[in-house]
Formats: sequence, structure tokens, C-alpha cells
Amino acid sequence: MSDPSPDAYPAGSGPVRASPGPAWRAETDTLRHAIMLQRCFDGPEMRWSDALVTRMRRHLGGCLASVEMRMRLEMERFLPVSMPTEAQCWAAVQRRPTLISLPLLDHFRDRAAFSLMRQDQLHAMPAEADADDAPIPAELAELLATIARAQADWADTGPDTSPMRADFPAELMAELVWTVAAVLADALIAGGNLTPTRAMAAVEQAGVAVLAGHDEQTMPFAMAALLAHRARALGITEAGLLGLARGRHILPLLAILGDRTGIELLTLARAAVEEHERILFLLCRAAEFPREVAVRLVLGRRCVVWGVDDSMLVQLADGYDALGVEAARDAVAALRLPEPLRARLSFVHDRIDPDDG
Amino acid sequence: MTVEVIERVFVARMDGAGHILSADEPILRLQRAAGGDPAGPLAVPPMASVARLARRLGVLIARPLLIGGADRDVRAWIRAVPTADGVELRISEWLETPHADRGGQDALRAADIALADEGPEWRTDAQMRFVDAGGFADAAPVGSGLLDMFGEAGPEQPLRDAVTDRRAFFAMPVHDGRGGRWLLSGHPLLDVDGAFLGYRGKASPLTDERSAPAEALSPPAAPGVDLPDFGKRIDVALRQPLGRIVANAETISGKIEGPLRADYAAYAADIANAGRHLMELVDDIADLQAIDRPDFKVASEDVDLADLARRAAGLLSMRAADRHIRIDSPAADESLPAIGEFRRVLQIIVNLLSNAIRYSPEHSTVWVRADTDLDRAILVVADQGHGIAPEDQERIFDKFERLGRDDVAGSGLGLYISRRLARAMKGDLHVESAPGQGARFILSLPLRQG
Repeated sequence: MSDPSPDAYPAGSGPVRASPGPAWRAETDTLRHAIMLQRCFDGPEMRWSDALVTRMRRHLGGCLASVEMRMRLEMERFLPVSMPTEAQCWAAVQRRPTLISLPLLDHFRDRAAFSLMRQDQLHAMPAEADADDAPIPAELAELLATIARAQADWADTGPDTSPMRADFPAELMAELVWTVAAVLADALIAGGNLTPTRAMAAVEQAGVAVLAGHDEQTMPFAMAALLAHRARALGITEAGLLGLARGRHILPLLAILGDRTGIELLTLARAAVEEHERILFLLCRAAEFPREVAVRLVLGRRCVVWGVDDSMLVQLADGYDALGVEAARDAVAALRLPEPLRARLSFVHDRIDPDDG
Repeated sequence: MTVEVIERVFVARMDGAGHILSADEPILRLQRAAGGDPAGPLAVPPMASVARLARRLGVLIARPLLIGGADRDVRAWIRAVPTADGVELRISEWLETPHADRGGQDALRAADIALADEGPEWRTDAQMRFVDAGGFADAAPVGSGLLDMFGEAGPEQPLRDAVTDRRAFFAMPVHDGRGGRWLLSGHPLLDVDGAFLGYRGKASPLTDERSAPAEALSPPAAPGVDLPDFGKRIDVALRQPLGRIVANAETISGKIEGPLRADYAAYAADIANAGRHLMELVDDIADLQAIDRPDFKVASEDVDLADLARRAAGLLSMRAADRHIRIDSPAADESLPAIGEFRRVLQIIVNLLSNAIRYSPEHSTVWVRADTDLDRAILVVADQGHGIAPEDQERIFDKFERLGRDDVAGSGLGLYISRRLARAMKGDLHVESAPGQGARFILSLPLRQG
């Protein structure tokens, strides 16, 4: 390796170079400090694998790029001046990660986790990979295949900023679109070619147009909920549930679990990635899933989060059938509460633990 | 579990303020059941919230929908599409599922509520907001809270406690904040998966004739002194504690609060049954007190005896099924107009059917037939029991007459009260029977002409 030339590395350009301003630096440093500490010292609540973090960045960057691209296309219809050519959003998020709200981060993490869990199935043993032939009612098979195809796009391993379809639930899509809109408005105003009023009006029009074209029903989460709704009418056997578990159709399984327990799918998705294994067993029992489905669900997420050791897992699995369905439903009843209520109860009492009963 | 699937797509269009511009009939049916106007704001809470979300975000929303009904739930798939001037709702994949029957408890509770004193029936959603406020809709608009309407001050909050614990309550005295006093009865509704859907019940207005316990209970009279309001006293003194015993025992036996050993659940079921029997006795004694008074009056209402017979058969269907007895009631399109007081006629038919079920052999049939005879509307309840000897056929209408039976069921007052009620309504009740031939109880009431 040759020595760096003084021109390429001017004084002050090293890791400790000055930041643009004291306030910006204070905020960023606090955040970075928190992130570094969390990554270095894995607490019990922070059990993500490196693969999950990497995949989450890929989803974040890809979805931002995709929405930014669509926004730009819409804005070209309203703007007399051209936009800056370089992508804005990914760089903006790098500079200020708090632009991405907590609900959005949660969802990015869950999508990333499900894509890794599903992808892991591709490398599974042949007998397991063929399990898609298990008895799923024919009326559900096509929808199941559509969900699997949509989720296959989530496993894309291109560069972080390569566009990825932002197939989000409606509320989160609105959040993402308005985040991108704010960054683009800021870029337009900073360019000086438009007044702030006109820049904001342009991004608002573009945002409304992008949202108007968003059909939640073609997104994997909504399709999984539809599949669960149809499964209720058609009836799905234990063998069918086992088929879903062996094929690692996590989202459809969680949607059926939600339909049976009255817990929202987004809440279950978060629980499937974040909660203790005991809670996952309780959820499966509350939905009267066979033990093997519960075990496969728990084992399947080992590629995304560190879990309890095997002896504890065996203990939980052994006690599964002895656990009463009503007791399990009682134990997870808190997850049925609306998310804002759970959050505030948790804040007030610091003890909304579904395990608490 | 019986699931009815409807494969059509139903459409509703809303304006920018959330009012219905047009809607298909099944959606309007839900709207009416929720107490809403067909051209007013959408009153079905889950549909209204999806419509609001679509309008607010300007995004198409596609979600599963769960709407709790009085006796069944509707699950469907909803697409809410924002339009230039409002929202279009497209509802498909419509499934109707009857409520879970927890050992027949719901039917028994529904029977309790049907027989409670007259008053508006109500229904809430899981957040205890009225989706149907019945006769007091002016005081409690759809969407307002039951616990807000019947607010309780002080440390004792029995209504709030019962609702929090998902317990049934019966004839609970409450104030509505506008000076009105009510006896409130209700029971929780659960879907097939055990999810809480809300409460359903009846509010009976409290008048001076029937006062709340706190006001009704004056200091006890000296022993041996005649108590002219003995029936009222026993009613208020016993009914509520018994109601609490029955509700709590049912909660335990139904394992609503959590898992329990099967034998303990069975003991609790025994307690509930015994409590219910005592409650019937209290009802009978209170009725006895009322109908023996010289100023006892009944209302003259237009009633349909065939419809009342079907309702009574529905209320007792679980009890009959327990003994594998089939009730053959009048066909759904059959009608028999008569004059009488709705609640009292239903009480008579329930009494006759209860007796028939109690004294018929298992795997037999009880027939209920509606007919006319000149200016009389006739309802016959016939069973395949042991029959009644001719010399006993008048005695069974005497007070406390049980023909030597010593089983715990029955107070010996039911037929006495039923005949007195029938005669107060210008009708009659008599029996035709022979030993081994079953019994035919014949209720006659004035026929409603035209």
C-alpha cells in the first residue's frame, strides 16, 4: 500500500475531522454513541445477527431509493426546474438516521428478518424444501405462491441503494413517502431554484400521487392476512399448518395465528422477531398450532436473532402440549391491546410482559 | 363450527364527511343493527375506522374486518378506496360465524335477559361503546360509552368491576346521570375463538313500583307482622346476591378467568344451577305476590303467539338438547295474532315448555302448535311424558302443588302463576291428559281480529 498523498488526505479529513456545526455534531454523536454501545454490548433486548443488520440496511436503502425514484418521476410533471441528479434520501438518512421513525425501523427489521428466514429455507435439506407439496387447500395455493414470489424480492442482495419495491402496509407507506418528500423538498429549497412554498407544494402533489397508486392488497402482509381469512372459511388442517411451517411460509403462518388469536399481524411480526422464545410458544399454543409448527417457527429465526440455548428450547418444546390453550391465550392477551395503549401501559407500569399473564 | 360464506362483493360509497351515499343491503343491515341511519354517518365501528384511515392517508386500505353481531360475527375483507369526494368501500369474502356456545351458558343468559323486566335492549363493542342503544338512543348515541352513561362514583363500582372481569350481571341498579334509574342486565359476548366482542343486555327502567334496593329496603318489621310488600322485599334482597352467585359460578365453570381442574369446574356448574333454581323460586314468589294483589293489571298488546312460541323454544333449546329432546315449534312463516302482554305470554310459554322438557323422557319430542277457535287464539304444548291422572288435572294449578314429587327442580308455583296470568289477560290455561299418554297444556287468549 502506498503512502497517501497530502492532496488526497488534507489535514483534518481523518476520522476526527470537524463536523458542520456543534448542534448537528452533538445530536449525531449521541446517536452514534448509543448505536455503538448497543452493537458492542449486546443486551438481552438486542440480539440481532449481523445478517439481519445488513439485510435491514439493504431494505432501508432499497425502499428509500424506490420511493425517491417514484417521487422524482411524479415531480417532473409539476416542476419547471430539474431536480438535483444525485439521489438524496440515502445520504440524508446517513447524515441523520432519526429521519427514519421507530415504526418504520421496526417494519424494516421485520421484513429483513422474514426474508432471511425464508431464504434460509432455500438451503435447507431436500426433504424439507419439498415440503411445499404438503396439503394446503388448492384455493389457497395460488395466493401462497404469490406471497412467496413477492417475498423472494426481499432477498435481493444488491447494493444498499439499488431500488427495492416498497410493498408496505398503508400507514407505513405514508410515513415513508412523507419522509422522502421532506428530504426532496429540503434539497429543492437548498438548490435555490424554487421558493420554499413552490417546492413544498410540488413534493406534496408528488407524495399524494405516489400514495394514490399504492395498493396495499398486493403487498405480502395484506396478502398473508387475506390468505388467513380464506383459510378460516376453507378450514386448514394440521398437515396444512405443518406444510406452511416446513416451507417456512412465516408470514402466512403468522397471519393465521393472528386470525385465530385476534392479534394484529404487525404486532405478531414484531413478536416473532423480538420476543422471547417462551412467548412464541405461547402464541402458537394460543392458536392451537401443532408443536412442530411452534418448534420450526422458533428454530427458523435463529438466523436472525440469538436465542436461548438448546436445553431451554427443549424444555419449552417438551412443555408445549401440557400447556392449556386457555392459559396460553390469557398469557398473550396483552398483545391484543392497541399498540399505543400497550406502549403507554408499558411506560407507566414498566411491566407489560405477555409472559406475566 | 358452522361458517356461512357469501361470495359477492358488497359496495358502499361515502362522502367526504363519512356519510353513506349508497350501500348494498347487507351493509345497510349492519348499519341498522349498529343503530345508524341508512343515509347517516357510517356507524359500524370497524368499517368506519378503515374508511377514515383511507380518507386521512389518501391510500387504498385492504384489511380483514371483524364485526361482532348479537348472535354471530361477520368476518370479511374490506378495500377502502379514496375517491375525489370521499371513499368507496368494497367488502368481499363475507363469512358469518355463530358465537361460541360455552356449554349453553349464552343461551341461558339470553333467556335471563329476555325474561328481565321490559326495557330497551342494548349492545356494545369490545371497547364498551354502544353499537345499539335501543330505546335510550337519545341519551346514549351510537359510539358513546356504556360506562360513561352509567357512571359510578365512589369506591364501589360494581358495573365497572363486572365489565372488567367480563362477568354477566343481572338487575344491577344504576343511574344514567340524567336522573333516570335503571336495572341493568348484561352478559359478555365472545367469538368462536374466545375473543371478547362486547356486551349485550337490557335496561329496565326503575319506577316507584319497583324501587332500587337501597331505597326499597326499609327497616325490618317485627316478627309476625304481615308484610304487604314481602314479594318485593324478597325480590330485591335475594335476586341480586343470587345473580352475583350465578354469574361468578358461571365464570368459574366456563373457565373464563383461566384454566381450572375439571371437577372444580363441575362444582361451580352445580352452584350455578342451584343458584339459578333459587332465582326461579324468587321470581315465582315475587310474581305470586304481584298477581295476588287485587290491583294486579296486565297490558293489552298485540302479540303473535306463534312468534312467541318460537322465541320460547329458542330460549330453551339448549336445555332440551341436553336431554336429547326435540322441540317442534310453529314454522317460521306461521303467525297467530292475539291480545296479551308480551312479557307475560312469553313467561307462560317458557313455563309450559320448561315443564314439558323437565318431565318428558329423553329422546322424545315436545310439540308446540298454534291454532284458532272462534274468537280465541290457542297454543298447545304437548309432551310424551307420563301424563297426569284426571283427579290431579286441576290440582296441578294450585299453589305449591307438586303432586308428591320431591326432586329439587320446580317450586310448584309455575302453573298457578301461568293460569292466573292467562286469566288476567282474559284467557285461560288448562290441561288434557291421561296416564301414559303425555299431557297437552292449552293456552287460550283473545284472538286479535283483522
